[in-house]
Amino acid sequence: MTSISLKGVTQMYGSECAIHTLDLEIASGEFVVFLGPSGCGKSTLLRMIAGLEQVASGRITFDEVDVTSTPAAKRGVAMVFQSYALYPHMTVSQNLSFGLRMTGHPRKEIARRVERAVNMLKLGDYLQRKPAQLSGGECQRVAIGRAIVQEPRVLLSDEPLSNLDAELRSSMRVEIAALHRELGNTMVYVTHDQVEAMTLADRIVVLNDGRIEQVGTPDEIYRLPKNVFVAGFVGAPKINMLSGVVVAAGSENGGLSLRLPSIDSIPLAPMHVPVRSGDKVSVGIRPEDIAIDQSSKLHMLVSFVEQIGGATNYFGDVGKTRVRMSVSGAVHFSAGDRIPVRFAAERFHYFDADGQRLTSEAARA
Amino acid sequence: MSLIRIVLRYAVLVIVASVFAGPFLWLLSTALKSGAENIFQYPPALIPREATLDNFKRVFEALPFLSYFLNSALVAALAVSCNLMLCSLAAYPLARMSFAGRQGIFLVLISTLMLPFQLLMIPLYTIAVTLGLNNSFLGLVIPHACTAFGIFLMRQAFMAIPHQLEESAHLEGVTRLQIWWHVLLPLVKPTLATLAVFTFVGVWGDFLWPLIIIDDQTRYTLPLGVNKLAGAFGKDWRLVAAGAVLSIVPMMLVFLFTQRFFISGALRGAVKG
Repeated sequence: MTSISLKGVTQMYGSECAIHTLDLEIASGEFVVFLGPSGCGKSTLLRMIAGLEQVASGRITFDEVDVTSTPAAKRGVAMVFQSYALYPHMTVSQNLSFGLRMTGHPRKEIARRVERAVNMLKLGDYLQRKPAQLSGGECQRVAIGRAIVQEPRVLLSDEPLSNLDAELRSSMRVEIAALHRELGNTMVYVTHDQVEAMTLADRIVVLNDGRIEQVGTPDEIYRLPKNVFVAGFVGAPKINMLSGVVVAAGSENGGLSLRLPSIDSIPLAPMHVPVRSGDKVSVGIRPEDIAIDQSSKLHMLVSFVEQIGGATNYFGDVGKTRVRMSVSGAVHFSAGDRIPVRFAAERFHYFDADGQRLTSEAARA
Repeated sequence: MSLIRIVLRYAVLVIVASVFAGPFLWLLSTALKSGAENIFQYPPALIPREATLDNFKRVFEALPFLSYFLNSALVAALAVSCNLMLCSLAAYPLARMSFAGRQGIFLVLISTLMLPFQLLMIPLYTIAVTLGLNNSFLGLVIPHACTAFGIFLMRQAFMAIPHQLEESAHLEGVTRLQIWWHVLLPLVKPTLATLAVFTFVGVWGDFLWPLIIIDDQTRYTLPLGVNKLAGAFGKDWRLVAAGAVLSIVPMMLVFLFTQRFFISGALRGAVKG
């Protein structure tokens, strides 16, 4: 097991800065997921850890040992690629053992490692097949197997499930999680799929434009997003962002409400308000934190309904503000209906004009 | 597709095929005609009245044609092997490694394609003689051993292979030479076949360079043999035609057996280029 440390790491492509000065600590045996939109630098960062790309500046250490200039082959890392990168002219068995054969490992050792991977990933039936004769999921299992036989200190995965269909992706997620439990080695995993990130990670690193936006457990990332980007990127349907002014509104609800340009004022919860009267804020509210409440004065005009099995997503307008609401259970309303809705003010996320999260402490300071 | 279009298409194909196959068929017809038949008759007759293999027999009696054939085979085998090996070795860094001047080196290599052999003939001869390579098989092979065209073709083929394959092997601790041999070369077999055919055809049919570098008749290749046949039996074109057919047949066989690879490889080079 290996801990990884990135200190002041940057990457440049010509005059373009792909990774801005970045610090990150990954604990030994941890499963860390790099999450972010396309082009945010997550794969670049992974390749820098692998040694497939040189860093422009900064230091990368494995177990306190500087590996910044160590060639990829000597770092003890293995990588699973999105495209599987299986050797098409070799059988599964040859694919698994290729690296070990080329580096002169004894036959018995090769057989032991291959057998272990084959058993772990249930590849026994495909050993004599070539990649072209395998399905996407089987190919990906072989790719993972090829990484495992290296017995790497760090296992890196670059969007390994992106080419699979939804069902296979879901089952492979479970297999990867089980694999990590069994192997116990440090894993760094890149994805743009938040479900993958939330279900697999011990910690998620949210990246945007070559910068780390937030590092935290899946729960922290979801419940306490550090800024508007993280709040917007994590969660489906996307979080509702309402911009308005905090106003004094009598003694009810601690005396504060959020006045929105196109909606009636929304009362704010007294115990959870990190703002003062007159503040201009953005308030984020998750779709599942909006509920149907017959007693509410606010109404949502439904324009689109999305039935996803266990829940129903409603898309519509409250006043002139577009709102997404997620309600567990089956469809009760359809497009054109007016639904009385209540915003759970105690679940509001407050962000300042720069998009940074406001905490009660920050507001009082 | 309408019938007219099909007929038109086949008509064009037959005309083009006749243009290309016509000279060879005429050559074959001449080689099969007996001495009693006038090969210059008008209108020319493509089908011999009495086909005979006698001309082929006479060719072998007149000159050591088998020896010329073996010389050509040896030179072609050596040239093809060297060209495949050296061109793919040279192409690998140009396609897959980043180093200063890579593009410049490639441009210089490509620009040599513009130089005709006639321009290089004299300096090449001087070098060969200085190195003592005249009248040797090595002297015949070396100009074909590593060609700019071959490097270009192999570079394009290597560039079409996904980088992840190489990176994956690299992370497994596989050396660059091992990657080249075990990962990349098996994946460019069609291009290797294409280059092999191009090189074989070039070397097998090469007349000018062997004419310059070889004096010793025991080292003659087939084109020199056919030329000698033309000189010695200039009045009997049946013999010359039989010798020419004998020298062409191996080339046709090589193409027939490799055309599957050759066509896909040639297309690959063209598209990726």
